[in-house]
Amino acid sequence: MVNSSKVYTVLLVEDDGPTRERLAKAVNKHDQLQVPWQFATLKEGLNQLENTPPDVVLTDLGLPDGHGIDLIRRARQLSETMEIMVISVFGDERNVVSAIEAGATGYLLKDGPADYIGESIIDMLNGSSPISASIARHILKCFRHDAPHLPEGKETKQPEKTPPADIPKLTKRETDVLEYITRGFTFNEVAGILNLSPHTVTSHIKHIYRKLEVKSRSEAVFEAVQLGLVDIRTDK
Amino acid sequence: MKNHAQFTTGWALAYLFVVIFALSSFTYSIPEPDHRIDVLSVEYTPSTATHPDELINANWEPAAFPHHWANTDHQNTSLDEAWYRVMMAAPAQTDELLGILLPSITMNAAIFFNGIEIGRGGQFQDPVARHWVQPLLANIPATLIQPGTNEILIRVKGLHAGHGSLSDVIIAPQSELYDMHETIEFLRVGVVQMITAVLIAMGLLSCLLWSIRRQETIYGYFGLANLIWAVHNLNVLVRDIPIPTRIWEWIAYATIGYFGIAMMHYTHRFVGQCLPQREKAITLFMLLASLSLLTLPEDLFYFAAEQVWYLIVFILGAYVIIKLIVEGWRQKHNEIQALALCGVLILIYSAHDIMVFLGFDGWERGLYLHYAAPVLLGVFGSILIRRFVASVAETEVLNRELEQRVEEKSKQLEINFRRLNKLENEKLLAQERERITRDMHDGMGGTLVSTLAMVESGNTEAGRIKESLRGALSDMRLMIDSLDSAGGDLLTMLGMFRERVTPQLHNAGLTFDWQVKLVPDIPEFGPEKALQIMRILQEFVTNTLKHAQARTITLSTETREEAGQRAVILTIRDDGTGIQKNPHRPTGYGLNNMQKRAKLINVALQLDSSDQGTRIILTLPLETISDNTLGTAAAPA
Repeated sequence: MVNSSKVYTVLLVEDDGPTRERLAKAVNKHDQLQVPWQFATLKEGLNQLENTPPDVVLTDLGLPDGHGIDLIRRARQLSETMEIMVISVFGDERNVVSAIEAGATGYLLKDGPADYIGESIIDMLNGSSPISASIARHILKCFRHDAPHLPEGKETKQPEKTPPADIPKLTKRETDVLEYITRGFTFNEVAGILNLSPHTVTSHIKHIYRKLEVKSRSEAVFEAVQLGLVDIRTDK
Repeated sequence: MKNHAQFTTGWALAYLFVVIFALSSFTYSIPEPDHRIDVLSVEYTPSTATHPDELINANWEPAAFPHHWANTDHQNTSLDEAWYRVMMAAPAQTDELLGILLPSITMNAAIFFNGIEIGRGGQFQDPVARHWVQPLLANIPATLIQPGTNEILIRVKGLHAGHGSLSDVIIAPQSELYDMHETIEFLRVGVVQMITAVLIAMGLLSCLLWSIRRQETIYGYFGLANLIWAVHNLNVLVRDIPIPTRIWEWIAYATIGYFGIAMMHYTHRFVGQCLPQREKAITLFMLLASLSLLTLPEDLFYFAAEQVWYLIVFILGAYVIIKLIVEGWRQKHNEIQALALCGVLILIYSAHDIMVFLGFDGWERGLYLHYAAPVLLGVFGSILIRRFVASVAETEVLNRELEQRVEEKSKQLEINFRRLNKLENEKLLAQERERITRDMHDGMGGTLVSTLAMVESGNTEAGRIKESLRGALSDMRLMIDSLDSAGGDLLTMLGMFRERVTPQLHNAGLTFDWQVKLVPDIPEFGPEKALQIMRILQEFVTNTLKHAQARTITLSTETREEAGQRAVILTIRDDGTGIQKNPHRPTGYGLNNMQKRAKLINVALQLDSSDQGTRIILTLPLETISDNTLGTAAAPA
């Protein structure tokens, strides 16, 4: 829960100057948020992560010297609790899902109204991750495949390549929540239909995001083992 | 064809070689022992005596070996038994044991030395033991040899009254006689045994081939010929026969003829001639002739068999061989010529055997026909192998050609497919490009142009420009959403639509009543349909916000079945003031636009409006219906 007296630090990485300015302004506008660091490159962002970890990371994906996904992954490695948001544009759900798989806990629409930006960050600090019908649909698709989530055409797996059992699966309740969201219902409506508190629904979303991340990571390891990139027997 | 013609000289030479080989084989004779003891005299008397004691009053006549009863002009030739008396002087050296060898006897003999029986070849009663090819050897016990003259008496049982013979009486040291006996045994029996074994194997194999490929009767007839010949060879191999001599002899005679029948059928098929009438006639004649032999009395039976039946068989054989030679010559076919070649050999050998039977040649060398078999088998075997190899090679060539053709075709197909695919892709791309361009002109473009017009005309009221730009942006989002992979899913698309319009509604103090129920997937629901439906919904929401003074917008989906047609019903309504103007020209509400869009994607749109509010019902059929029906249904009421 947000400590009402605390001011949270935000690391902003965005290569487009005007957008960065606009976002920083919107975030700073909120009493409890502050942007002490804003960068245009991945390298600077990573450096800052190592020096002073922020409370919130806000990053674009397409950076001049690399991919924002790397920043997200590093941030998640450094802290399990850090809130990581990816800056997205409309119709970019696929990239948002990739960012969630790397450890992001939310996304922010670049072109959203100024008020919305600060509110979204605070909501997330309160344990409520944003989601959209399209993202919910993407996530459902990822979990529906028994086989690891692979690029298309690689889904025909041999029996011995069955992924390990510790890859997380969605519970029935989580699937229900996602399905209602896919159909356009709001958190409150879903809570009403499923007889839950709105807060439970939002924490479900956060949970689902973390599951997607773990799933994606274990599948990456599994894939690497399958490809012979990693030998777990000699792992110390 | 030239190849075949060149072979003609070669074949002529081959014929010559075969004939010379066949004739030269007649010059072969069993080697004499080195220390043969000369006899003093040979005498002969027809007699039914069973023991030398009964020969006291015998009337001995001088004779010379080989001795054949049919050759002697004796009054008692009606007897089928005779005795030979051979006198020999006691040898000078007595340290070597002596023996007596009878190379061939028709049919059986018993040997008495100075009145004591020293050898016998089996039983004398019918069926008489057969020594006509198998030599008979007896040892002379040293104690029986007397100084001076010794008497050897040999009782011979003939085949029948007119047919009995003794080829020779060879007295020599036992060691030499053993060798000679073994050689004769091997040549006359051992070799024939081997040939017979091969004949049986080949015959069974050939019959098996025929049983697998019934239409190839040629293999059946050849197999039959082999097996018949094998049966015929028993006549040479079996000494103590289990059945009466006449039946045994009949089998030997008959099988030669039956072999001819089988070979005739084989030959006709081999040279590719179809002569069923002739085959039937000849077969029937041969069968009747052979069976009629059985009905004859004994003296006539042997006469008919040896002088008439053999002639008939010989004629049939000659027919077969002439057929092969003529066809081989005409068709210039190597295989036929090769067969004709061994036919000639068979003919020469059987001519020899007939001469033997007719008494023109002696029995010392035995019969020859059996030895022609390996030649025939070799030729047929090689023909079989050649045919097999040829068919395998042909299959391989065919397979290769087929593979090549398949490869060519698949290449062509691939090229065609690629070309088609490319065309298809290009067409799809062009269509999609055209659609997106149209959509941009239609929506965002139009809004931007009017915004620009506003600015140019000096109307720079910030609020209106902002609203206009938001409209353009919102339409762009619609387009992007429709291109999302979720664009094919009506419910997700509605969810995305809600996310987009919620801020607008929120700002205007309106609430969204979301009644979206699970509905089945709509067939062929793509970006185009998604975009037009969202635009209709957007238009409705915009109109409500502008004109209706409503408090709630309700959106619902449900599945409905009407007249056997299932459809998804998408309804959006407000609780506003309704359309105040003339319902036939509801331009203010942009209804024409909505109808146009609905028609574009073949969806029926129904508009109801009252002072209680306005409602649009879109009917999305779940079964694909022809455009025609939809067109009618889509027409406004």
